[in-house]
Amino acid sequence: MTDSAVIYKVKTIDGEVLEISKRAADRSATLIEMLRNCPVDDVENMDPIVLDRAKGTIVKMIIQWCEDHKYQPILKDDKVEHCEEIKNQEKELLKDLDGDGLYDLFEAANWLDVRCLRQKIAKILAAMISGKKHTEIRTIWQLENDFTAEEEAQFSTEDAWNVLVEEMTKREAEKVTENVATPSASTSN
Amino acid sequence: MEGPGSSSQFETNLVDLPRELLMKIFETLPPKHVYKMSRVCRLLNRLIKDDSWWMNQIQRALNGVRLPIAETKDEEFTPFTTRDAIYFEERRWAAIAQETKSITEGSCSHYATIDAVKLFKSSNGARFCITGARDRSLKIFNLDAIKNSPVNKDTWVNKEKEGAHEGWIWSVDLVNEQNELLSAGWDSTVCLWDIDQRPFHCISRKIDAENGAVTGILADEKVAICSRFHSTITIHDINNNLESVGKVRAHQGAITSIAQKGHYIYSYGVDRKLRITDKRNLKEHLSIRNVPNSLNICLNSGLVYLATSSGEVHAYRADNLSPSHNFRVVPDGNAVRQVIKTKGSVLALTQLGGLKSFSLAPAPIEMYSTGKFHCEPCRFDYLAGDVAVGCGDGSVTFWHRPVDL
Repeated sequence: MTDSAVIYKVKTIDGEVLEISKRAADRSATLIEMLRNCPVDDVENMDPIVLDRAKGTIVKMIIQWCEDHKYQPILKDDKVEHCEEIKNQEKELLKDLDGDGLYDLFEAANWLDVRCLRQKIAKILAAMISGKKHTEIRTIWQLENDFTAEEEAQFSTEDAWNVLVEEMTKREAEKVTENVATPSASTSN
Repeated sequence: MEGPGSSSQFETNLVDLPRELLMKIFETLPPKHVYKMSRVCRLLNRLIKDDSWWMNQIQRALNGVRLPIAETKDEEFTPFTTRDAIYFEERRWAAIAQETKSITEGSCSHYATIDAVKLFKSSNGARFCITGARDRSLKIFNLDAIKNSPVNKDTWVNKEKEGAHEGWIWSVDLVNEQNELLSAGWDSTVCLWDIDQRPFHCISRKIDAENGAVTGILADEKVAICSRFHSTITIHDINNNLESVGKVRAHQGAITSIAQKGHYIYSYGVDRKLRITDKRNLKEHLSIRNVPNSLNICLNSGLVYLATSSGEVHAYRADNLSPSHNFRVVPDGNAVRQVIKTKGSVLALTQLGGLKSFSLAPAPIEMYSTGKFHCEPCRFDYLAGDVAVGCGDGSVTFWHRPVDL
């Protein structure tokens, strides 16, 4: 039997039973480990593998992603650069989710150790807040400002790190003015 | 994308994620952006201010290799700034291959070998480069003019002083970061210049024939520290006509390179000795002998880096001069003329292989190499992404820091 002909069954926390090909299942290091611990002789009549940490909707999406990518190389380590670009297929898959669903998918991809997917979602989440002010990030990620007024005031006078941050924001502001000012050789006296 | 009350089938919130998973989002963002997020809420503040996370990021950036202990224990080391510097240097040297370099020629060039190069920024952010050459003149180049008028080279030189010395100019350094300049060289003379004036205005000049040619000069707050041809280190008072206020015989033979930090002066001489002299009493603090034949030393991040004549860079701990690590830059027979250690990279100027940049860590990876220059390069300087290389034919080659970096 070829790899793609072998179909495993998994059962989610909310009772849904889903199918996944062996080749796709190999993208989840967790599933590989689970199957290694309980070798399955008769795949067709096996009891479903219990995934007690994820719901049907999420697992379905992960299985779909794994099936779509089953012929692609698996990320060996966590090197950020190696993952290929997000393709249209995935864009749609992930667009269906709102913010919360994305966290669920992120956590499930982490637990099932599907590295490429986890990294993709990390990049999507990072893109959501890249370059945004801390006040905007609070809104986007629905985080509460739990600092006291004194603590907030202290941020401006804090350690040298803030100097770097100020420099960065100043440089970004300079870039804007540099683009509109006429380039003339700056003379000194 | 999100509404105040999201669909009930999804339960997880960002703050519910395991901490390590949450930090995975930040791994893909520029370090400075991540740091900004420490102001969002307490949870993020705690996670982002965690030094061990930044140390982990440094290690991942360096392919799993740890930084030398001397570097991480140095008093000025912070994990965030080093991670950020590494990020900057990686991008800076990745960009240089597409850049156009500017090379001086004609009247804006020197007409003899350049031995001294120093980049600096004025208080309003304008960028300059000082060069001193064997044609006995000092020039100050305006980097913004070079960048904005690549063809009109007449605008490149901001100020110059011909006949600044009576012999080759070996070394320059800036006092107070911008408006005073020290120069020294073959004529055993130390000069202090006011560079705000046009032309240069000489504030004071001190001839000290007894100690021979000045091979290197450093500004150290109120004094100038000089390495001399006749084996001595001499100290001169900047505010009192460069009068000598100290002298010590530190080597057996010419001292070829000098550096300083805190209470200590580091010197290397033809006697192949690396010595630390205590500024407070000018006595020897520590020294090691039979060090590889070297042309230049650089003191940075708790380590002393040596540019060897056999094509390698050797690093020693700055506190006790024990060997830390070394790596080969070019094949033997090709000397490394100068080494500069930045917070995020190691830069080496070689005799026949041009300028090379390397990543940090005990086994650095080459990030970029200019390849052979049009003429043998002698001295370079690097400041926040700007590069200036002075050559044997009197020309200077500039690369400008990319705008979007």
